Amino acid sequence: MKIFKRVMIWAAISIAIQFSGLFYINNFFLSESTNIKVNKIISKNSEKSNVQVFIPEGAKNVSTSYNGRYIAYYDNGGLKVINTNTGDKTVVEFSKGVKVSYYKWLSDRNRMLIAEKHTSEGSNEFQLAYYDVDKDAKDKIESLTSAGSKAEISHIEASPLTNMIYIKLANSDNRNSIYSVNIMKEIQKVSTNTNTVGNICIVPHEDNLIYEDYAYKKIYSTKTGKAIEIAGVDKSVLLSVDSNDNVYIGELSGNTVSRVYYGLVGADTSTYKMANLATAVDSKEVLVSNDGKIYLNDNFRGKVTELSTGKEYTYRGNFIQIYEGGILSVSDNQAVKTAMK
Amino acid sequence: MNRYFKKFRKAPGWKVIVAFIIFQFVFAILTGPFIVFYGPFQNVKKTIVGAAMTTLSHQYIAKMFLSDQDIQAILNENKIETIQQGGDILKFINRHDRNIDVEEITEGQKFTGYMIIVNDPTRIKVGYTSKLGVAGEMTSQIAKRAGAIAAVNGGGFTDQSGESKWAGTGGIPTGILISDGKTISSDISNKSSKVNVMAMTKDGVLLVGPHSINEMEKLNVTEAITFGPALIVNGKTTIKSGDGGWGIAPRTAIGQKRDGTILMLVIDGRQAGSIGATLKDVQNIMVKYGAYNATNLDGGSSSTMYYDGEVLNNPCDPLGERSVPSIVYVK
Repeated sequence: MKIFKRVMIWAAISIAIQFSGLFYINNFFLSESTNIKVNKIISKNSEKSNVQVFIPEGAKNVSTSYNGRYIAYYDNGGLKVINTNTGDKTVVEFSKGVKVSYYKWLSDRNRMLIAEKHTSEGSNEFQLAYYDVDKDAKDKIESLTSAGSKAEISHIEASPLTNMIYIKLANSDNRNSIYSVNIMKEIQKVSTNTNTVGNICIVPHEDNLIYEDYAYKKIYSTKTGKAIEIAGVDKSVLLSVDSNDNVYIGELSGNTVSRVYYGLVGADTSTYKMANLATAVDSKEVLVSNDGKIYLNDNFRGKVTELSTGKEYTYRGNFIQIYEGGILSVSDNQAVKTAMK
Repeated sequence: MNRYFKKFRKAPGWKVIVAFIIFQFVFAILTGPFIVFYGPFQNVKKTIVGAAMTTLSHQYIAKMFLSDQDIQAILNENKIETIQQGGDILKFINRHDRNIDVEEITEGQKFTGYMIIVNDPTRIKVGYTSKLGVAGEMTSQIAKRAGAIAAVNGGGFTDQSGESKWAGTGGIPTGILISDGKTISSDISNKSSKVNVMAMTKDGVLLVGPHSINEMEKLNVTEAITFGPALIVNGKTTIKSGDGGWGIAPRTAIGQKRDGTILMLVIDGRQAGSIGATLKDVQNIMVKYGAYNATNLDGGSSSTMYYDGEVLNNPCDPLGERSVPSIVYVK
């Protein structure tokens, strides 16, 4: 009898929950009437001139958004974003037990993708989130994968055109794996020809990732599954893919690049153009802008040179990166923006 | 001794809780469908039937509980009527008032959106990607290049990139695209076949619903894209019952009042704080604003509103604003 009474009470609770839940959905979410409130908007504008952006001594992974408007960096385990027009600083919020594994600005908007590492009771899980700086909106995209405690996300590539995201997971044993996320948030492990993946570059207009095998100095495409080979080039390094789907490949001699080959991804590599560098440089000093200009950076002399025209731009302090229309460097803990053109 | 007893007494408590949860779960699964299909919640029932019947493999969900006749009756309720706008189009005196208003709209916890109200309809133009056929561009990019003060995304596109489904770049528009009096792109071969359009005539009259190319030429259409359905035609609403059958999602729509004023609406969706709107919601808002003609435009991830150098809404894709083939903007 006691059991019967208990079941009746539980059943009544269940019916009550279901009815109230359905009542809410029925009359709220699925209601056919629409009761809107309207607010007039007055546009806001608060740009200041001569804004000084302070970059603290311990700041790591300093980088700027595509148009140089925002600068982000890690400091004391947190992720900070500064608006270079107003000087406003935002600390990106994370919940407890969450560390930033990697962040990456998108190529054409003031939004970043963040790989978060969630640690609880010895297990680690990576989650992908976005943070839109213009809107100050952060949201989870998807849980990626669980991994060992020493594993980190070491690279993110994304194309806003195809809405594809590629993620490189670096395991503790120097082996890497690649995952893709599409617009439906479906996650797939990408099959690669090597587990020593170096640099990766997404192709903006098609679902294709170009990646480098740093052990054997070869470059592959995930679309064809084949190597991109250039006649006469034995060892190559992946420099960049520009916004028009051109791939830039450096020819390695020793550890330096002496020549750059470039052309459309998927085209016959015998049609690729070649550019000679006057002196061989480290591959990190060869920069390619989104619109396909090749620059050489010389941090010692504080100069960025456009390869095709020889035009030089002088900057102060330590080079950080190039963005659309300028160079970002840090001098005496101040961010310095130097215009190009 | 004491501790031992404490532990011992705790155990059945947990068991009861676990049993309770399992009971609730099983009981809800067993009784839930009956409450949904035979209970008093008509909107829930219609939505589930609609959602199930639009799939191929899950139609059994509805068929298990309801007769084919009942299902058909429910589906018919969600039908959107087609009303022909005809050649006798709206007439108004345009004072070429340069005023633009922007309003934020909220509907409880369900959605937030924005309405841009443009007094002079001849300022409404269609813009398109500079890489037509290859890739789309962001609404804000196209708008900035065109020197627009305000813009919303426009027509639909083919969502495919080679073998990869869903990876479309928005470069290939569907239907017709007319901008500044020139036909930029068209996959309609029969000039007298009618397709759902959003079009503007030379005098700033908004055309919505099915129109043929011949008809549009006759009416001096200078801007057009293909999308639908029309929500209000000549003052009459097309969704009389049901929610329109398109579910809840981010939405973009455009309408025109009797005095010529243009209404451009974007509603955010698929995010915390704004789930999205049904077509019926969009129609209701347009009616409330006094629209005489109104049509739905491409929604979902594409829904974007640009105003004065900024994107106002929060497009729902992880990467933000999506690339689209065409926009409707205010010059």
